[in-house]
Amino acid sequence: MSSMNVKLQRTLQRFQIKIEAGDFYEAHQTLRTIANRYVRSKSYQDAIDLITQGSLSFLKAGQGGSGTDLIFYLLEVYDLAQIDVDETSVSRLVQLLMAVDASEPNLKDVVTGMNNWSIKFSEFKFGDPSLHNVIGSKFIEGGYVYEAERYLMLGNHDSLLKYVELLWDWFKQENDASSIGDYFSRLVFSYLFISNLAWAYEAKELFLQLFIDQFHPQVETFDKNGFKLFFFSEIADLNFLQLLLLTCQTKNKELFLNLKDHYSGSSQKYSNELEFLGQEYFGIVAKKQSNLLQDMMAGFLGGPGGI
Amino acid sequence: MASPEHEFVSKFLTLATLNQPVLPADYKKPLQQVNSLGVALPALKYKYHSKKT
Repeated sequence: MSSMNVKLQRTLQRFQIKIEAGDFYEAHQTLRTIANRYVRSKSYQDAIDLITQGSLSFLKAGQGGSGTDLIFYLLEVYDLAQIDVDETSVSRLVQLLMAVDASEPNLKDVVTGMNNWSIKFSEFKFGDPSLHNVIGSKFIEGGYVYEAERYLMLGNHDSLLKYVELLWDWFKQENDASSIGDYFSRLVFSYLFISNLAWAYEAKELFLQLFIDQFHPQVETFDKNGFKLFFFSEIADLNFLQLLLLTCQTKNKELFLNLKDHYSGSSQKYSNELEFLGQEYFGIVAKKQSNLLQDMMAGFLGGPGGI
Repeated sequence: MASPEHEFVSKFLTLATLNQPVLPADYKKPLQQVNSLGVALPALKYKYHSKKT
């Protein structure tokens, strides 16, 4: 902020006085007018500083509507000015997002707007990982756990810890030991889907250790050629999921089929997930769902079946 | 008395770790190269209770 010009600083001071006086409408209009002027003269940095500070003041004053309106405006300016994803541009958004109340009605739109910018101006097809990390926390706070999960799985290492903690807290809320596999499976599948074996292993270790320490299930540890497995004599799903991890690592199709065959219950339960992993790691092309009528029609018309 | 599952796991581990796995255990595809997020996971049986209420 030290580089901010004097005129801008004075504008912000006047703005702050209006906010403190509760004159929110006036403050919002004035700020937008001045920001527009900066944008028109392509003084983007000034516009960005002004809008960011203005938004933060509104959010701190509990004015979520005006605060988030200015976030959308900031994103418009980011887009116009072709601001690339870097530490400065992301941390500005992170600072704003942290100031947004988790119960703000348009929280999801704010998040989507921010993430879309980070997709457009970075090499990450799903957005910036450090931004995802903060989005994940905000969504957990707001109770949007499935949305949080998607962002955390595409986050940084800190997100991995949050993801494990989220699933563990969730599991603990009901304390239904029979459902442990459902929670654990999400960690394994999420990371296997995006070919992140390192974090799949780390999440496995953290999560299963929590379970062992707090529930004292019957467990035996296997350690073979560097692969560690917790064998749960009463929870087959957990054994299956650990073996699945190792199997994906080998990319050995026979092993995969053998594993699926032995654990038919787990295989049925996770059939969609396994079909994807089959393609991803073992080159097994998924059978196309056959539709008799469609095939017949396609036959009559001489075209290929299916769409 | 080892259960059939115990026996299977033991044999499977031996087989699967016989050779060096194709992907190292610390393998991580850079997120820049991730194009697919896999399939949507089904909702869990229990609702999450947000701490902040």
